[in-house]
Amino acid sequence: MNPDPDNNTPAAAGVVADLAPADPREHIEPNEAQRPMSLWYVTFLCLFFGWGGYYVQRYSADYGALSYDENAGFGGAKTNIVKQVDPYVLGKRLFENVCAKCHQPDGHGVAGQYPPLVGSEWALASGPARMVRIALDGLQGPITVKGAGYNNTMTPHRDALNDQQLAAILTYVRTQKEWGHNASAVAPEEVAGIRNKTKDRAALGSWTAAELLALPDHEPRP
Amino acid sequence: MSATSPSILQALSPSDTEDVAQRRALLAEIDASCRGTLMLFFGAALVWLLIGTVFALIASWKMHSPDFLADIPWLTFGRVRPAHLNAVVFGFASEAAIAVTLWLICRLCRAPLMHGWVVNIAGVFWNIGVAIGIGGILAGHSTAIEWLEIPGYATPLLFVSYALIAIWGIITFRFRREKHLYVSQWYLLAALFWFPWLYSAAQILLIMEPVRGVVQATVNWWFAHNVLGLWFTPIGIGAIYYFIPKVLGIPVYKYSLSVIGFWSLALFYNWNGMHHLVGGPLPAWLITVSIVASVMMTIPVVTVGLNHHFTMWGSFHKLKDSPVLRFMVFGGMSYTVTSLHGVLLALRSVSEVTHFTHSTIAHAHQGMYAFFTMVMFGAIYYIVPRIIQVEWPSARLISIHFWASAIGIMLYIVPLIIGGTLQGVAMINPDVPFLDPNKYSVVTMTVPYLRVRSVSGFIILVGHLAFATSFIWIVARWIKAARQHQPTPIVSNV
Amino acid sequence: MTVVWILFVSSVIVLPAAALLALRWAVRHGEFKNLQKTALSIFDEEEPVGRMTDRFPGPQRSSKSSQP
Repeated sequence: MNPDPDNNTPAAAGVVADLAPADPREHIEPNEAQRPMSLWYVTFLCLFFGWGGYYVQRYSADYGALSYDENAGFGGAKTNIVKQVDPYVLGKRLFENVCAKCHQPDGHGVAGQYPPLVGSEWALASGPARMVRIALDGLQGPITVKGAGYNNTMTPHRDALNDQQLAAILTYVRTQKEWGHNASAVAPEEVAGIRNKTKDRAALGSWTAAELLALPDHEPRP
Repeated sequence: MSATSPSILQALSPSDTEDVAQRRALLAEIDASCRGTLMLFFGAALVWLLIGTVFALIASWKMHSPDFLADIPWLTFGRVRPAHLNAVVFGFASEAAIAVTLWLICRLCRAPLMHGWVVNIAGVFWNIGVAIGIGGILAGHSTAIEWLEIPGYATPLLFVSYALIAIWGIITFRFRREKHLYVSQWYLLAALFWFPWLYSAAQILLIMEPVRGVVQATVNWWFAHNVLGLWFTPIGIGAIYYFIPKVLGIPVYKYSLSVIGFWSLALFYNWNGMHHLVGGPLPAWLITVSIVASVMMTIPVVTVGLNHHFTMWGSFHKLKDSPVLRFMVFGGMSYTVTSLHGVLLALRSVSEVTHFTHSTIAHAHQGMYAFFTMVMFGAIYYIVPRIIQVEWPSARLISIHFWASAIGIMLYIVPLIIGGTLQGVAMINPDVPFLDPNKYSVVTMTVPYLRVRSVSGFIILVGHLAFATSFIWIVARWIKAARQHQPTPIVSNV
Repeated sequence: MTVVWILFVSSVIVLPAAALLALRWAVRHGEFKNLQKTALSIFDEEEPVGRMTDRFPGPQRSSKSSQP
C-alpha cells in the first residue's frame, strides 16, 4: 500500500490547505460532456423495449382472465383461447366433490335416504331435461326410484355450478362406464337453455317428482 | 479523527481551514450520534446471523440425512427451515440493512441522527418481535406462508418498530444539510418506503383477510420476490454506490447512468414475482408481463453493473489492501451475475426445467448471501471502526472471514445450480423414477449435491465465527478504551 | 373487503403517484443537473478524491497513527 500523503497531523493539513488550494478534487471538476451516453447503450435500451413489447403482445392470449395458454390468441386464432376440457374427467371430479356426499362415490346412494344413480330410470331417461331441472333447482317430497320410495330434499345448484360444470356432471352420470351407463351426453347449451327457461323457478321452491313427470324428457327446441 | 484536531487546525490556520475543521467536527458529531444505535443493530444482527447459520446447517443436513434430529418436534425440517429463513432475513439482513441505511443517510445528508434512543427502543422491540416470531415458528405456530411464517402475534411488534425506524430515517433526511441527493439516498429512501408497503399488503392479503385460490400464490410470490428486490437490493446497491467510490477515492464511473438504473429498477422490479408461477393456473398475460419485466431488469442490472465495475476497473490490485473493497466488489459482481442468471430463470423454457428444484434455492442464496450479505459485511467493516473510534483488532480474522464466506458460498451456489438443473431435467423425464435407490432417480441423484451444500455451510460458519470473534474483540477494546477515557490509536482519516 | 379496496387504491394510484411526484420534485429541484458534481459529493477536503479510505488493520498503520 502506498503511504498516504501524511496530512493527518494538523500542521500537514494546514500546509496542504495553504500551499495547494488546487486540491486533488479540483482536477476532476464537473464536465457534463465528458462521457456522452454511448450509442451502444441507447441501442441496448431500444432492443430490450422492442423485445418486451413484442413478447407481451405475442404471449398474452388477448389478456383473457380465463386464458391459460400463452400461445393462443395471436395472429387470428382467437376462438380457441379456453382449453378444451374432457367433460367426463371434469364431471368425475365434480361428482366426487359435489354429488358423492349423498349419492355416494359408487353412485348407489343410501337406502331409504338418498336414491341411487346407478341404473336409475331418472338418470338414464332418453333425454336429460328432468335431470337438469333437478340439478338446477333441487328436489323435494316423495319420489320413486328403481321401485323404492324416498322422501328427502336435494339442494339446488343453480348458483353454485355453471352450465359447463353441470353438463359435465350429468354427462358423467349418464355415461359412467363402470356403472354400465350408456345414455346420451349433455351439452352445456342444453343446460343453458333450461336454466334460462326456468330462471323464475327458484322463487317457487324445489321441484317435486309429480311436476317433473308432467314435463317431457327432452326439452323441445325453441 | 481525534476530537482535538479541529481546534488545533483552527489555531494553526484559522482562515483557510475553518471549513475543514467544521466538516471534521460535523463528521465526528454524525458518527457519534449513530454510535449506540448502530452497535445495537450490528450486534443483534450478528447474533441472528449465527443462530440463522446453525438453523441452516441443521436444515441442510436433514436434506441428505433425514433421520438427523427427526424425533424432536421443535427441530423438524418444516420448522427449522422457516426459522432459518426468518432469522437471517428479519433478524440478520434487515437489521444490518437498517443500520447501514441509517448511517449512510446521516453521512450523505451530513446530519446527525437525532434522538437516537427512539431508534434504540424500536430496535429492541424489533429483536423481541423476531425472537417471539422464531420461537413461535419452532413451537409450530408458523403461518405456513413462505417469507411470512412469523405468527400473527409477533408481526404488529415488527411493523411498529419498523415504522419508527423508517420515520427516523426520513426525519434525518428532512433535516439534511447537504441539499443535493447522492444516488445511494434514492435507493435507501425508496427502500424505506417500499418495505412497509410490501409487508402490510402481504399481511393483509394473506393473513388478515386472506384472498383465495391462485391470487394467494400470486400475492405470496409478489411479496417474497419483492422483499429481495425492493428492500434488500436497493440497500445493497445503494451501499455499493457509496462504498466502492469512497474506498477507492474515485468518483462513480458515469453518474448519469445511476439515474436510469434507479428509476428502471423502480419501474420493473415490482412485476417480477409471477415468473415463479410459469405453468400455474394463472391467466397467461399475468405470467407473460412478469417475464417481460424480469427480462427488462437487465436494464437496471447492466446499468448499475457498468457503474460499479467500471469504477473498479484498473483498481483491482487494491483489493489486496482493503477488506471493505473485497466484500463490496464480491457483492457487486454477484449482483450482476445473480440478476442476469435470474433473467434466464424467468424465461418459460428455462423455468419449466429449473423451477421447483434446488436450483431456485441456489439462486436465492446467490442474491441474499453472495450479493447482499457480502455487501453488509463490507459495510460493517467500514462503519464500525469509524463510529467507535477503535480499529479492527486482527487483519487475519477479516481475511479468514472473507475467504470462508466467499469460498463457502461459491461452493454452495455452483454445484447446487448444476445439480438443480439436472434434477429438473430428471423430473420432466417420465422414464426417470422419482425415488428408486437402485437406479438414477430424482431423489437419489440430488444427494451428492446436497452433501456438498452441507460442507459449504460449515465453511460459511467458520467465516461467521471469525467475524463474531472480530466483533466481540473490537467491542471489548471499545469498552476498555471508554473506561480509560482515551481512544485507542487509529489512523484519523480512515 | 374494504381493506382490500383501500390496499388496491393505495397500490395502484397512490404509489405510482408518489413515484411521479418524487420524480417531478427531483427534476424541479435540479437533482438531474450537474451530475458529475453530485458524483463528487461523497468526497470532501477530509477525504478527497484520489485517497483510499480503507485498508487492512496492521502494523503499517500504527506507525502512522495520529496519536501525538
